[in-house]
Amino acid sequence: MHPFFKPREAGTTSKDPKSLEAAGSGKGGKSKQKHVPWVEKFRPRSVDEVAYQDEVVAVLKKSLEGSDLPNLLFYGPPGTGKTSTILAAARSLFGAEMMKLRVLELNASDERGINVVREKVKKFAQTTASGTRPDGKPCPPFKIIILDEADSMTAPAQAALRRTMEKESKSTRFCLICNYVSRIIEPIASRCAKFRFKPLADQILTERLQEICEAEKISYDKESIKALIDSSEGDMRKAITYLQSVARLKGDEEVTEADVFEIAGVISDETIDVLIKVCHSNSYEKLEKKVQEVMFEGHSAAQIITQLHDKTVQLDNLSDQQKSVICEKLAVVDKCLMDGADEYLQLMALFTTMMREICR
Amino acid sequence: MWSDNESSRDSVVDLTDSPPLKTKKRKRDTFTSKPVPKKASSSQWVTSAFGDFDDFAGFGSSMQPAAKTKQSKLVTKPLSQCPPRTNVSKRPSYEDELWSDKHTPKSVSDLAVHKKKIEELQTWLQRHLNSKSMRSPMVLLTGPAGAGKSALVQVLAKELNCELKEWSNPIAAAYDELSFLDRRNNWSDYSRVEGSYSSSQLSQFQQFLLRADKYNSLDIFGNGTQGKIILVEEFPNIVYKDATSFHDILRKYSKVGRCPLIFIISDSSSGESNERLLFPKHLQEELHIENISFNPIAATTMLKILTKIATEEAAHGMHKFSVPSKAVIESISMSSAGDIRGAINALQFACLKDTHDLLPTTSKGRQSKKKTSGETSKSKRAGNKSSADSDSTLAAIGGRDTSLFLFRALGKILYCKRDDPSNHPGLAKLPPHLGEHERDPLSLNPEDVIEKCNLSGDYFNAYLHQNYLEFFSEISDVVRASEYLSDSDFMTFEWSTRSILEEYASSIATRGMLHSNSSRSKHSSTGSGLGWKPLHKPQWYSTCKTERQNCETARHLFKSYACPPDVLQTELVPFLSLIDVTLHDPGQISFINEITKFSNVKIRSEKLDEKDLVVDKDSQGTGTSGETVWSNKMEEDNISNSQSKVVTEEMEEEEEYEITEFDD
Amino acid sequence: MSLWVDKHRPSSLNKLDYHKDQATLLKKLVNGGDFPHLLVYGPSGAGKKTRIMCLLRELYGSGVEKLRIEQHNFTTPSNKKIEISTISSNYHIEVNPSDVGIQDRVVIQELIKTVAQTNNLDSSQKDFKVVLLTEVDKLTKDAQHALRRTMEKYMSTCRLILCCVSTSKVIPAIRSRCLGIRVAAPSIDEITQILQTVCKKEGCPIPTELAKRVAEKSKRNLRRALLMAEACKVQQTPLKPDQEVSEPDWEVYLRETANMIIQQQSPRRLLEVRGRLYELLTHCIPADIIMKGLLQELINNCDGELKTEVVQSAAFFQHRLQLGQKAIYHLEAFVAKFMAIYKRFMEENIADLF
Repeated sequence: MHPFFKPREAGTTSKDPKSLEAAGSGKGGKSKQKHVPWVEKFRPRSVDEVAYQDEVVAVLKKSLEGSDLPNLLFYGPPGTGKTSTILAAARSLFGAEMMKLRVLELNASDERGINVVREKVKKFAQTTASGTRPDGKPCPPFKIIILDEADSMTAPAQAALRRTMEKESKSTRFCLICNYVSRIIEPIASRCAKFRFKPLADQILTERLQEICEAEKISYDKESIKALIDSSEGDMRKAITYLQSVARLKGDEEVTEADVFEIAGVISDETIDVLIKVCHSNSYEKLEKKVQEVMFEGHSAAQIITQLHDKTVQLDNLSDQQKSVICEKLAVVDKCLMDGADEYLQLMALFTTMMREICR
Repeated sequence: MWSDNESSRDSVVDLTDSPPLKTKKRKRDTFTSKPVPKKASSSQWVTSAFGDFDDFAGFGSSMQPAAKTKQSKLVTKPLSQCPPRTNVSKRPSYEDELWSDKHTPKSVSDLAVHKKKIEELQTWLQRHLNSKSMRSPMVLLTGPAGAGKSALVQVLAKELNCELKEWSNPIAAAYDELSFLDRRNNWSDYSRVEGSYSSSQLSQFQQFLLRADKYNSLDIFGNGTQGKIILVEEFPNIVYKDATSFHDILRKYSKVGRCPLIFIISDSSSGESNERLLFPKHLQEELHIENISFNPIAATTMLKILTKIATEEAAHGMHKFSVPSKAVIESISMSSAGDIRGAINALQFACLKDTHDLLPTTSKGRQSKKKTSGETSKSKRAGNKSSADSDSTLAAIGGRDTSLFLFRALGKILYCKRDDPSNHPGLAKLPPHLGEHERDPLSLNPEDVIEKCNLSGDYFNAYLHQNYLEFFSEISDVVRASEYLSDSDFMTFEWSTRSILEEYASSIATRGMLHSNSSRSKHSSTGSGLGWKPLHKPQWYSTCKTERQNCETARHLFKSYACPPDVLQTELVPFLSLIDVTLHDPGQISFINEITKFSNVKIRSEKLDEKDLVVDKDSQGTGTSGETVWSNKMEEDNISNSQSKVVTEEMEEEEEYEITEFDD
Repeated sequence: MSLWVDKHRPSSLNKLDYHKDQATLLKKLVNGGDFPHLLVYGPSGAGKKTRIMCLLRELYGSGVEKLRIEQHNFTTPSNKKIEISTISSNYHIEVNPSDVGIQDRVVIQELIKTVAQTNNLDSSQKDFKVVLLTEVDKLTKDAQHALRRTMEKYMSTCRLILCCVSTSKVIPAIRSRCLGIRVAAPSIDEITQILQTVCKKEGCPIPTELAKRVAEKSKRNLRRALLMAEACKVQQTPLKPDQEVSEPDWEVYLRETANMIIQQQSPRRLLEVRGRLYELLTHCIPADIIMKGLLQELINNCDGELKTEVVQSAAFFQHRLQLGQKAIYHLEAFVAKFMAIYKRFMEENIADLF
């Protein structure tokens, strides 16, 4: 069988085609397409297909027409199509065949350390690139190096990168991809054309997910799509991954909202509401019981906090001051949880604070 | 006489109370009053001291570091009393034997070890020498260095008329070095060399064990030894790296070996002992290895032995020297923290003609106290301080390490002395709403105190924590003090910044502790009250050690249940003791019995029981005779010396005791 | 004779007593002969391991039940040897990497590498093995990142099943690469029912009343409930409805300690309590469990507003305890804090009386 759950970025790493092949050949050529991660399967093939990022696409297309590319810096929230865009652009420049030779993708969190990056970049940048494709069509005489998660590179590594960028500028274009542009050092940022990727609108996500559902013949209802969008927080990759998991788990049955929430680890709204309500009771015993119940359900405290935060901010019956006290406690509790403190105690600390504020 | 007192007071000041600046000034005063030109004589002293050390190759090498660090202090000694010594090389060289070797106990009666322990080992040996059981007997002796473990084995072997075979590491050290050089040149080569070397050392060890057992040495002289005992005190280096193969050898031996096998492991001061690595609990159980642990030599016993040696030496001694006074011996035995070997070495040093010159200060100091005991409290104090001085001097020479003042430092923090605010005119008052935090100025600088006791802040905190509760009377104060301790621990949790923050952490803990004790916030309240309280060593470290051991044992014994440690320790094991499931492993049964039993007795005293012989004596209370008080006090010292931290100084509140005890 | 917990553990997905819907889903999942990496989470004693073993059995057949204990040795880059014991069958290997503390990264990397590379699967047609990692939430961050990379690298030859209590401490990168399976704790009724069936099979029927009490006392932890029931049986057969439910000794000891704190609030008493805390620690009761246990006992003696305060300080000190090195400082600070709060409360109450 084919590995079902290809890692999220796997399809985009340079080694991926190989591993796909290896896996495929090992399986004696069983329906190869079927089990490819959907994130890969439904990745946009051309720049035009990239959803929602119109401005970016427009600018990019212009430069593609001129068969030239500046150094690029893509930033924006996860799952907004940054990697897809550059891959699509590269494909249109080099064609599917040449791409393997001309594109190097480095995942900063995979191969850490300045030396590794420098070494690889150097080696790759030094190979020559001719101006024609094997099939005779003209193509730009440069290579592309994609640095994914560039913001997780240390500042010294980035500084080292800057040198390399200057040195290899003739034959190589860099494309840096990151979530936060503020974490890229200024000298690098100033050498790149910056593109901001907007969070995807729900509408776009819905359309896309529906398309996939049709293509994969999944029975679904509206709520489940909505649930997918809610739980993925505008991250297309997450949404598709969840969808695939749900489809896998449910087989031929209809996908429901509850299933989606279950996969995503999202706690149902009712549960959160009950927790907030019990805070109004001003009874420690009731609160304790409820919190324990939620814990016994196996929900993670981090998730509870995230959702509770969303809810609290919107609550109408609380004054701003009450909210600020609660939110501050939320922050403290979140930090403590990150440090590995006990979930039950932290939740109790949070909810007792909340109870005191509400019943004041 | 006058100069004696003066100088000794000076040196006490140096070590403790006032800020260093002041001390220097006073020191200079003392020096100027000296008739001998400072520069010349001091340099002379230093060189001659080294000449001395050279005479004693083995001895010197062990003592030198300590002596070096204390040089500056030696220099501050009354120089007038130090006669110009010239011909160091003319000293007779026959004194080349260490007293600790020379006076090795010859018979059981000479031993300083506690009688019970002697008996324990003796009966064990007798039992196993005679019986022809299938299992080969093994025993593991543990205890601090210089507790007399090796001596005991030697003496018993002799007494039982056994041959003692001792393993010593093959002299392959040179080879080891060689291979180390190799490593630089050729890695692959090195690995090969190391492999063969290590295996050879292990196999040599194994051969030694098995052979020593089988072949009796040729009985040429017909002295008809009764049996044979194998002693392993030095372990092949490799076993530390590869404990499992060592265990395999032991298992093999337990099958084929017949004569008693004795292992000796000295506790290391770092706490992480090799015992756990080499002889984990489950192995001890599996091979029925008995474990006899030794305590540090009791102070009274130590005193006896030292006195005996001193008199013996005085009688037979080839070179000029006088019997050191009782006080000197006392202070030596005190500073040795139960390490008899160290104590004897110190004694030897103290008895030498040259170093002996130092000592009149000491004895005279004591005498002066005797005289003044009936007089005003001020002179009492002076006398007391001079005794403190002598302690520190000697301990600097013979003591185990330099952290002499822990006991005192703790006392300073816990008793929390405060100055009279009228002495500090410029002092601003806190605004009224903060009135409860108003404190009289401290008479000490906590950071100085910590620094002087040469302990890491973390460690000092552990001592503070162990003892602070006794000094608090209000729970609201305790809350704050305990929170400060918690803060200090919390500050150092990240290892990357620990080295920097550690200092601050201990500052927070000590200062917090000082401040939160509201009953001692005023100058007037600090002088009285409280009375003398015994100090204790932290239980935390031993608790941790046992916990780790138990957890490991649990994991090992119940690994077939395959559950996470938390579940194992809090659910499975406790319930197994309630359920009558047949367990196959006797180790499991005994472990369960042990681990699920909670003692309701006062845990505090029980803990102290482990290392010290104190507890029973302690309960007798302070007797009337000076001897009892003395020994009590000594024992207290042992208590407060975890990990061989030496304590020489008593607290001021204890003055009364001290005086009565020298009055007899 | 083995414990009831082991003896009556269901061995196939069909035989599971609760969360049956989930069981069918799981069955469907593996019926394809393959499954993604799984992240199984839920409270202690909810049956995570049982479910995983059932799943493996569904996948590989009864071969997974032939278990053996093995010792594995690894060498860290700093040339330190570490040893870890694993439980494995021909098809899977189970390991708790947090056993080796901060060296867990090495274990993860090396062990999975070894498993993935030795491809000696005999009769089975599956071309992957399963590595079952327990207590993933206790792994260091470093190890979790290593795990994430390993997951990508050896996807073709092995599947990971990660088992943990809460996903809060699992990094998102791992969470997003796994199919999360939540196993909620069984309800009181479910436990009651299971207890009754098990006891019946053992030939000593348990009265419903007692079963219910045991279930409640177990705090919805099935393993505990079964252990308790078995302890009850040892204590007295046949089982009586009004029988006392046996508790582990340390819990009794902890309760006594809590009572001591309630009785008197003074430095002296705190010293005694400290001794008892040490005693608990030496008996391998983890510090955070002591903290939680104490809180649970102490809070019952408090009034509403007081409870809030106590819980807050417990959370505060537990957090520090987690990070700090000397648990006793924080435990003691908590006890002291409680004493102060409680004392103040009592004094106010007395003042009100007059």
